[in-house]
Amino acid sequence: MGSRHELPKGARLRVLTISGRVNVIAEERNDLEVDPPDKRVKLDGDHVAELKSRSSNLTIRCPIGTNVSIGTVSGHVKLEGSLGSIKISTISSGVELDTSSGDIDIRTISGSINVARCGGSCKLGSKSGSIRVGGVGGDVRASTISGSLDVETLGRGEVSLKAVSGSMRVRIPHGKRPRVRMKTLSGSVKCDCEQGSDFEIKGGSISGSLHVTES
Amino acid sequence: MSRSRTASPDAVQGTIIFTDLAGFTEFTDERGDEAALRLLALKDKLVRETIGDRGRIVKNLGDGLMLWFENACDAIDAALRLQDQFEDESSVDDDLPLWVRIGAHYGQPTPRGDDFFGHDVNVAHRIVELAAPGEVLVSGALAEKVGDSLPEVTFDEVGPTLMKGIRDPVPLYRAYRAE
Repeated sequence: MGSRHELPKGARLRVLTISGRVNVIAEERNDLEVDPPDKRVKLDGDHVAELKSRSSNLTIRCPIGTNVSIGTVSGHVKLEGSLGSIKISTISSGVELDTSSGDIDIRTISGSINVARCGGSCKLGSKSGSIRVGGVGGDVRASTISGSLDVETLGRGEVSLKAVSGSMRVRIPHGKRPRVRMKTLSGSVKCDCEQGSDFEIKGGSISGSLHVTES
Repeated sequence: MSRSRTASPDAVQGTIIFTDLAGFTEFTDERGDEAALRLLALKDKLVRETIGDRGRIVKNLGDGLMLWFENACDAIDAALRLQDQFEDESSVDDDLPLWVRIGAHYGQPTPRGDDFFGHDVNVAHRIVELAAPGEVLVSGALAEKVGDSLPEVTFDEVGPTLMKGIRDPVPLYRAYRAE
């Protein structure tokens, strides 16, 4: 059983940890529950509830739709359930996110990013980790130097991808006709669907390839 | 997680910018040394033209640069203009991909000859590692210093960030011009 803390309505949950596993679970509730229970949650007005930890594993239960910011150096970040807008920056942590109903900005240097569904717009970046995101309702802007990119879009926003040497794959809904543009030095582009003007897919690479396919 | 830090008595206030040309190693591998030198020369020319006498190139770091500006607004304006220039050049010539990441921080580094060193230089260098190609990522200290002085510039909070070797969290913002 963790300790329970007030979370003002609409406040952003901010978590800072050096290392360890961070697990945020969105569920039907109005407050925060933090495990281990000895952690202090500092309220900054009605806007932010901040939790700092050095190197322990953290489990935080919060209301559905909570906006979350997380900063870590290493470890692993897992967000379960349906959350609001998400901002995560990390050096080497892997990031897993179930569902965000808002916009997300996740950046890591060497970790991988895996997002099951994002209702808003997505900004994702990794230097060497792979990035995979599904069911994006808004714009997608993702970049990686040596990792791969795998994006599933609902075809409602622009998709802009940059991968220096990794591969890029965009999955689109059946029947959608995107306009595909690719700038590459030696990579290839392949589009399995008919092109049109429903939305735009822009790819850029040095040697990476772009493959557009139906979901 | 926080502790007080004292700047050197010789420290000066200003903005440190680091740039990094993403994919330069792969570009050199694909196109060869001559093309790589041409890409670097183009980038350096655009930087010199853009910063003018508002700032200076502190040093060349291979595929990156360290820049210095005394005025925080000049630094932000130059960084955003640089990204515009890089994008324009890249769209004109597909063979010269200027995918540049820019990180900037306002602080009190200590001069050492023409160079600077100290905690704030380290912070600026860490920021560029988290920037995406085409992006200007800045510290909260720089965003705060600029404040409302550049109404056309928006600072979008990325969140608090912990950086390797830097004890205190650094709030980061993505700077861009409102369209």
